[in-house]
Amino acid sequence: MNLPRREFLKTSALAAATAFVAQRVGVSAALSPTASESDGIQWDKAPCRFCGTGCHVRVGVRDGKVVAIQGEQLAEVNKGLLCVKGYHVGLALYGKDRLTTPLLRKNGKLEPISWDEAIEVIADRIMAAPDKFAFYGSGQWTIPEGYAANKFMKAGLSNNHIDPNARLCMSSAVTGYLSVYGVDEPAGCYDDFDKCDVLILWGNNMAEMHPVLFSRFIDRRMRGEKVMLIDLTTRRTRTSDFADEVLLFKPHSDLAIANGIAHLLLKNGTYDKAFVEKHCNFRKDTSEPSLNGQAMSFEEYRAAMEHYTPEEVERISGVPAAKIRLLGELFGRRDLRITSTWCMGFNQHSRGTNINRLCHGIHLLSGHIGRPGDAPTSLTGQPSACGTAREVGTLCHFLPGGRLVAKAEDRADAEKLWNVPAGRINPKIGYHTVLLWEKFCTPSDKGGDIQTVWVQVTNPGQSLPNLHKLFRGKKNLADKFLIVSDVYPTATTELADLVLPSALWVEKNGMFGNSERRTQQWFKMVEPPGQARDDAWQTIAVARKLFERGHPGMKDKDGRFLFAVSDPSGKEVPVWDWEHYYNVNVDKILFEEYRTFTRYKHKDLAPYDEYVKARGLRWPVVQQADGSWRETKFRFSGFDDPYVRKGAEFQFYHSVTKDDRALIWFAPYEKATEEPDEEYPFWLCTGRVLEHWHTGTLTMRIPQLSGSVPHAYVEIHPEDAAERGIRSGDSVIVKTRRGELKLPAWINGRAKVPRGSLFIPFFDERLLVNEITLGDPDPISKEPDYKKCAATIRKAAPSEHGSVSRSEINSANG
Amino acid sequence: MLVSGLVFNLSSGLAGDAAFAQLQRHPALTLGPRAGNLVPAALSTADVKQSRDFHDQMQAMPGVEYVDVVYVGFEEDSEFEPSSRAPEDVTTAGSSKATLFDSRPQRMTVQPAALPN
Repeated sequence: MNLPRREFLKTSALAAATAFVAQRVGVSAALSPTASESDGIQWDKAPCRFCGTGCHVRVGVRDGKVVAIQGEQLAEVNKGLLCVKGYHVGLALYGKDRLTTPLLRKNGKLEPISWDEAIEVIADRIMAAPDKFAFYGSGQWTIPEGYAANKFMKAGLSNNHIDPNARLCMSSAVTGYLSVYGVDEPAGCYDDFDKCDVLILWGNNMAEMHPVLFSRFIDRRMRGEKVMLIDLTTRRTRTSDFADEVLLFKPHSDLAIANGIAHLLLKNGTYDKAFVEKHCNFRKDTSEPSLNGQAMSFEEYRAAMEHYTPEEVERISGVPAAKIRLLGELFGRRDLRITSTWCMGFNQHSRGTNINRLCHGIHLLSGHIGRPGDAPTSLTGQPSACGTAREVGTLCHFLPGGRLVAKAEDRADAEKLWNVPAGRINPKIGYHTVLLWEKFCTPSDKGGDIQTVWVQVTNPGQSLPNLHKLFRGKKNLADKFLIVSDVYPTATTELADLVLPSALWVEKNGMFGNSERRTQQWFKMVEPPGQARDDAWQTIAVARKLFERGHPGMKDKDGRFLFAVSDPSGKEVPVWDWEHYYNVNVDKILFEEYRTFTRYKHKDLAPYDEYVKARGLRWPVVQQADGSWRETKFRFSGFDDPYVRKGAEFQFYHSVTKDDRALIWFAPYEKATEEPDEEYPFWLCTGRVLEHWHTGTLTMRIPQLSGSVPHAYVEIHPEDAAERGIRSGDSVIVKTRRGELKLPAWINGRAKVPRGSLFIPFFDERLLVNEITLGDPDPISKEPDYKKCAATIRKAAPSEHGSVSRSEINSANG
Repeated sequence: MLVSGLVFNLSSGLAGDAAFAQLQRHPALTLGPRAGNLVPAALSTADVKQSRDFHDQMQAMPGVEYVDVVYVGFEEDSEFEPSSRAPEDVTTAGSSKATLFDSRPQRMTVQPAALPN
């Protein structure tokens, strides 16, 4: 076939659409093209670059350029469907302002330099003060990239000052899982959305943030299935339009709602007594919040929940008592399958660990766990927040595979696997994200003991809270040095001293781990532009430079380079030299090394080549007697999890209490740190929109997306707006105790906030809402709260320009 | 040049049939075999704007419940203009205001279905 190019693309598009329809109606049909086509488009699979759902796409490449995207019909996650971001993911590579050469700030101006010079500059900074160096990454790191960075820091520099942006989005989910089950990540998976009768979204605008998963659930209605959606939310969103019940609650009062459900289960005797007696213990916090707390009896737990009557919960939350009773009744029914999901609403919460614990607790108390459709499941916002941040352990207190920096036997185990001398890993936990940036932005003579930060794959200059304190403070500190590896100029590169151009997505090999424990792999498909190079290569090149300069940490126990790579004949390949980096598959080598860490917490991964064949596999992936590799959908459940004791229905085999039981926690409702008052009478919440991903670095460069939502705005209730003479589109000033921001108002737009609330999305680098957010952290997870602070709003005078006059407020802020 | 794969979700009954007839006549569309209320199609347009306008028209057409996009082929470069932060007045910058605050239907991959009894 040698069709004209346009005809060929039309044929491909129609084939994809026809296959999608066939799948929807349950008819087998030939799948649209995946293999090489005579017309010159080469198709290959890759997970989407954006959120943590982990949809697979088919990437069409022609003449060295990505020219088409379709949903991967073979992928279980998305079954051929993508969201509006996913369909345009290929365009993320082709913004006009891609970074293509290393840039060094000289006399205040960024000027092009060679890669050799850039590597030397980084090595100089590290050699001068290795303990004052920090690495900051994200869940956008591929698994091998994150693994390389983690090994470089913890096994090489004996320095634990490495943390990912994931600290800002899911660390409260981690502490929730750890304190309830003794091990991180969900027991269930996306199959729960296909099986549940009731889906409860806890502060989770799933229709916009995880639209493919939302469609997967809602489409069941099209097939005639009776499913119920309950939207617990602080503002009406697109998700609410589909919900059977929209329960609007006052910010922070989700703690009371969860306790109200537990209260009713206990009062009505509808909790699952047999499950609780067999599989659960009870827990409460110590006087100071801690991960593992202290034991409490069932009777103490029952007494603590007495207070949370439906009427009291209504008083606290604003949700009618009758609706609290409805939730209690649903959880009390054994004939229903109930899945709860959450994302940033729970996690970016100054009591994030506690609300995670409480949600797991009501599922445990009611026995709605461990069967398909019965699950408490967190969703993640970044494509490999689970795979790289949590599993590889790029957080400052983790080692790979769930090991802990603070635990001597875990350090010893990691040192053995890394083949480094005993004692190489520093026993002191590093700085978590907020502390790391605070130390970086504090003068060295005033305790600011982080002098150099290397940022890869994220944009803290936009995503950190309270930016003036945690990021912009760097500006006037001459001895501080910021290195940024990225693909486009960002709010972070604006203050960078050294900028490194990185390869993006299918410009390099990669692996991600999504929200349902699914590890995914892809191959490089196109060349990166100019001199842009892989982030893992950058790390290895710096490590090699340090090795050559005699840094002892860059050698293993046998004196070999920490990242030594050999070809099949045993000859060392100089992968630190870009010309040779792709002579071997470095990703595969790093992954196979990392894989040896994963069995410790029963997060077993299969060999790399298994992921090449699959559209992802959910861990633990265990080899069968016939040599095949089997994934696990439902962890801790005897019918599916190979690590559950034979004959047991459930076994929480990493139990905190070492008795195979999960913990049901009590945590009280507490007020938010900063609540509206006379001076600042509004709640301010921040978040995302469907069309943009994270800080908009990629999606703002895709015209189809940036054209749909071109800038940030503030949502305000019509009556609040009318009282202030504000109309849609008017410029307004939103002010908090940390600063003020001028932006347009939007009334009854996409979402509807209740009276007394404001909402601003954070994707717009020109309108940085994080200049005014509070970011009060959870005491255990250290994750900041971006969802609540007090604010005021007024119409801007015609003469007012931009985001202005922060100085007097900031001096007060310290 | 922009080529998209679409799936039209039609209403049941006459309205859906009328919409189907209209789609069949549309010069920019190549339709695949209809399966119940679902119609696969390839859409070929000159540029992004035309594609979006077409999508919005179809979305608003009587008898069309909603339109899923399942394939996107693109040959155009990005148009992103790196911005200076904190613009003078973002609401009047270029087409921004018109795009965000007009009454164009919002695009989604799903629409409300009947709630369970």
